[in-house]
Amino acid sequence: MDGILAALDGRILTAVIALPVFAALVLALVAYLLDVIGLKYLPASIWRSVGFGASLTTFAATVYIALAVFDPERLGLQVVEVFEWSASLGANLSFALDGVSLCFLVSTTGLVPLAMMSTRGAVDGSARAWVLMMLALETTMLGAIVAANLLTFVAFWAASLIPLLLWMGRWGGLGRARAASRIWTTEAIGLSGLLFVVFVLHETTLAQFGAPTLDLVPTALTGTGERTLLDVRIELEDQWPLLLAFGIGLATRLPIVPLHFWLPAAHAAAPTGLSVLIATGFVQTAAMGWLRFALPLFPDAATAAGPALSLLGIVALAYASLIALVQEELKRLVAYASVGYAGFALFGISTLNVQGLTGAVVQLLTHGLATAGLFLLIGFLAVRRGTTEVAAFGGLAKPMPVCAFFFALMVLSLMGLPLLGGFVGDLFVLLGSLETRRGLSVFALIAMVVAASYLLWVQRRIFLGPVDEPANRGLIDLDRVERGIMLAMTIPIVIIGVYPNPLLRRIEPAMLELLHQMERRSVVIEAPAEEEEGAPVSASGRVDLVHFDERAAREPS
Amino acid sequence: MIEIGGWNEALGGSIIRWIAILPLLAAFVHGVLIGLVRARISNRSIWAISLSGLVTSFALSAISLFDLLDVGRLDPILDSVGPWIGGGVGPRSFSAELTFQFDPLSAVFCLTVTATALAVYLHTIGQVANGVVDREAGHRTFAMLDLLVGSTLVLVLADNLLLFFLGWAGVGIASQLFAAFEFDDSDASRAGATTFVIGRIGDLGLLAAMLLLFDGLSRAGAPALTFRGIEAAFRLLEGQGVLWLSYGSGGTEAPLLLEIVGFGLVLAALTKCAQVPVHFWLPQSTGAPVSASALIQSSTTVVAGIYVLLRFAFLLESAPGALRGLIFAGTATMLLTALGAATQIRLPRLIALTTSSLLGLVVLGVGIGAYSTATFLLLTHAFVKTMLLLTSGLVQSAQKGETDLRQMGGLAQRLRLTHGLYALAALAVVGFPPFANFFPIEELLAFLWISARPESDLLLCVTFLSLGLLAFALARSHFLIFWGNARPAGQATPRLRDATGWRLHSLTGLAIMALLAGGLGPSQFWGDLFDAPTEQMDSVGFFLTTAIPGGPDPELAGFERWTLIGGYLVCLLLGLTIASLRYARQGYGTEPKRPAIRVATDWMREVFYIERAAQIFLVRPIRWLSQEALARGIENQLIDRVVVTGGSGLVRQTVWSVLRRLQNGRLQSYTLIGLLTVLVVVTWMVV
Repeated sequence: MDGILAALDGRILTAVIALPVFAALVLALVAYLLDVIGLKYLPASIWRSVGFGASLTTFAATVYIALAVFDPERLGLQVVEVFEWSASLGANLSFALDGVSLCFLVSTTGLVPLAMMSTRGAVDGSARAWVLMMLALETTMLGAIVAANLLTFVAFWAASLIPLLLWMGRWGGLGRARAASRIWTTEAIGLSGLLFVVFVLHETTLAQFGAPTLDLVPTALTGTGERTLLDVRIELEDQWPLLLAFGIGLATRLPIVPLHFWLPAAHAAAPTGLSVLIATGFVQTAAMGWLRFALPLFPDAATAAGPALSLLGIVALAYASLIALVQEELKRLVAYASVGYAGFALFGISTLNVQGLTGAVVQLLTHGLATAGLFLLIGFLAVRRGTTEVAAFGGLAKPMPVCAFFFALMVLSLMGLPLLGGFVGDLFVLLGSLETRRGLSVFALIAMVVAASYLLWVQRRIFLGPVDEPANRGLIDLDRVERGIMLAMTIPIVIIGVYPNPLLRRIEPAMLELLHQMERRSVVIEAPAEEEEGAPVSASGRVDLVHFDERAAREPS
Repeated sequence: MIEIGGWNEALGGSIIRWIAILPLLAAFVHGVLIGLVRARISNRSIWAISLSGLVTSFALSAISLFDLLDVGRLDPILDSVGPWIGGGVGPRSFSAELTFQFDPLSAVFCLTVTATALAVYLHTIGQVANGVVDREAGHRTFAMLDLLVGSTLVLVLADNLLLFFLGWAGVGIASQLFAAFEFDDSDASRAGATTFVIGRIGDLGLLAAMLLLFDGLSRAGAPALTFRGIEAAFRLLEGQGVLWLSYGSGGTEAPLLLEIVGFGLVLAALTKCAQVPVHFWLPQSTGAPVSASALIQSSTTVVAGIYVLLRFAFLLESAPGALRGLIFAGTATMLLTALGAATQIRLPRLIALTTSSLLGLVVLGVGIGAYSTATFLLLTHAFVKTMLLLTSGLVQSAQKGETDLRQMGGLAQRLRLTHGLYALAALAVVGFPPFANFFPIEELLAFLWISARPESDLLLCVTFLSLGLLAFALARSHFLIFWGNARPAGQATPRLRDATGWRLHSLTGLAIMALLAGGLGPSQFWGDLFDAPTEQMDSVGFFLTTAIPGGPDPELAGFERWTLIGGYLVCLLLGLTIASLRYARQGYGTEPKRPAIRVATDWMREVFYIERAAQIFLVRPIRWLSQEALARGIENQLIDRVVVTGGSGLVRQTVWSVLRRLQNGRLQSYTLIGLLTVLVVVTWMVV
């Protein structure tokens, strides 16, 4: 063990990212060699168990990193690992961790084994390619989550499309071709935006530093010394088109209304395991794009666009929730729910203060888990009934009480019930928005509270009432494996809800650092802080209460 | 750190937390057993888990009450478990601790909740033992009862806003679960949905109030999350004449934020107390087991609503608009639901409407500033309403679940004991002297009389009218159930017997409380009659003086007071007499014939169709908007068809038309393209 760790010193993050696809390639190679020497193919069960083992090992390694390597007290990027790729492009393979990417990393690696387990038996005919695609998708998503170089980020971002589309096309359900073409179209649009920014920044750093660099961390591999991408000066009028291009790229994946149309189609057609990963890791790569690149690189434009983005987020939440209210198909319904929550996350991000940003990250994490849990449950129902139409169900709490129990838990977390994860994110986003977007925060609150009603509506239609359909009468409840999967999904939601401080302590420093970077890089000359319009205390009325101590006030005199 | 002394200190200062945590722990164990493990455990184990938690809670509450009295100054006992949620930087950072606070107000509610819950638990045990409720339903009932009681205790013991909201949400979830208890019944699942949506509206109000309050305080430089901290900050800011919490204008009369916060709190309270216009979840959710209804309507869910008002009484007094709304809603509820109760034909709905009506009186009491009297009424009401509901449960189970009053009658001969208990409970609910509710209601009337509000005369009249109607409604139900001739439904069960065992014992305990609870705090007016010293008479009122604003007693005595009491009694007697004349002998009779009266009866029975109006004017437009405008119009037509399909079609056509022209098969044009390409490349390299 010590030997392994010593060998991995300085490369542990890279090793974790590469492990899934490495395992897949070794398997493929072994299978090919066996084929060459005339033996039979490796049986599917070996593929599956090796794939499962690889993903589980990856998860264990990320947990090790989270507990032993990562230092929550440190600001800025850590566990930095840089490999030369193309010095002339200023592009290296750079990976680094901060609190946010750590959380997304752990959640994504933890979900892959669960996603694998959830599709037992369903893909026996082609398990080899299936394992290969899943592991490849994991590696590409992880790479984008921890990328510390713009081109690395974009490369992994684009690469993740390949396994995704192959998976969708090979194992998707009805409408998979349509879904795949929609994904491809929107992602192509988004990718062109991202590449545009890459080229412009490449030219800009070349002009300003004499050598190109796209790295967020200083490295000797580029000829720019201590200067990084974050030292490049971008004038305000240049920030606008760049932010627009980059933002559209990210908005295709987060996904933000009106660029969301691929997601309902994708979820409706995707197999359960893929839905789980789209709802979590795939969407979280877009959030990393916002937090690690878009906001620090274009701080002034982002600040100026903040109110508009907040408004967009709220409109997206309300719009998607209202549409979810009338969906008749479960997967589409949950897909619209996740569109709505993506809007809420954008709202949190665009508040541009610590609480709002932290809330958005927590919210992406917990709502991702909860929607993934719903997709899993819907998958379990679909296996039993062969359909996901809401109308086909009814009164399932009688034959499937455990399923109803977990469904209710996930819904309650999405609704923001205290002691479940969703509450923490919602609370922080709302608190943050009160500071900078007070007018909108009331609408956010209303939208957030009302948004949950469609979930209740669907829960009632599926699980409550009399069992009308004869086919539903004999349904078998979740078996042991399925219960285990759902329990594994529930535990983090409950832990985050009951005691969120350890999580918050890791996210907040990253957000502080982000805000610090934005302030440092701002090219707009700081005007003296103006009194915000509608501030509660009139100039004459401000009193020195900074030292007001709540604790002292609580003690009776 | 304050001295806590007594048992609390002897036990390491950490017994308050267990009052709330133990029932929740029991709920968790039940939840895992039912929802996850699907284990079937024996009835005795179920009872052991639930009762041990509750009894310990009750005992700890009682011990802590003695400690509180021991301290003398009634300083709150604080029990801090540790940090819970915190974050942010600078003046807006916050840290909510998991701290429980046991002050006089919490003490009163803790004891009320645990005591009534104890009676209800024992009654439920009796039901299961007698086979009225089967094992599976009994297990679920106990799990949800534990959740309900535990959440209520968290709510009343909370020391800060977030913990308070935790208890609040737990109470909401438990109420919703109970409303949908018979989940395979479509009515029950609908009731669950209604309860949930109304509860959600209340959550919205409370969350908005909490967040805006915290925001306003931190903008004023005094961020506070704990109740005591908020009050201290509030007083500090008020004392310095700061126009804090006023948005922008800086005017003297417009603390707009306070009004918004006040309205949020009032909205939250109205939803939990089942007040007009959000009352209809309570009559709908009467499909719940009777023991659950008894707790929801007496000491848990409805307490949450009043408690939030009492905790923020200091703030509401600075929000006159919100207070006016509160008074209006309370008064309207009192009258409208009393009318509904007077014409109701379903027994559980009738009782639920009387609950709404009496809580309207409590809400009105809070609105006019009679805080300790309102608390007192809530306390006595908890016991007598529990008793009334449990007794009505006996009637229903004797009738094999029949709830239609028209199908009942003549039960008095066979259920003698139940007959007496129901009569006692009904009289105690409407406050017939000397039973429990008499003293607080009489005190509230006196408060109304001396209230400086311009409309107080009108309020007083409405209160008299409503009390008379309530007396009529309950007397009517009593006569229809027990008097007159036995109905077919009654005859179908030949061996009707009074309940025995725990079902009876629990009611005996409650009956004693119904007789005596009024003695806990009659106002000094009664004390003066017997030369009792001040503090011994209104013990509840004086106990609460440190926790909530306002004096314990109305300054009204002599002739005026006697006039009020006389008027009150006349109203009650009128209600009773009319009911007895109409229903004592001939039973329900027939529905009214004249169309005008029939329509009027229907309107009253349905509480003026408020629910249907909400359905038509709120729910349907939203669904229409979602279905037609958004889902069909924008999502399908605009985005799917026009933008995506149309857009891609356009792109495809354009690209193809260009490519088609290039790929024309003519050698000349290919050569031309080749030449042009070479030209461009050469130019590029040269330049």
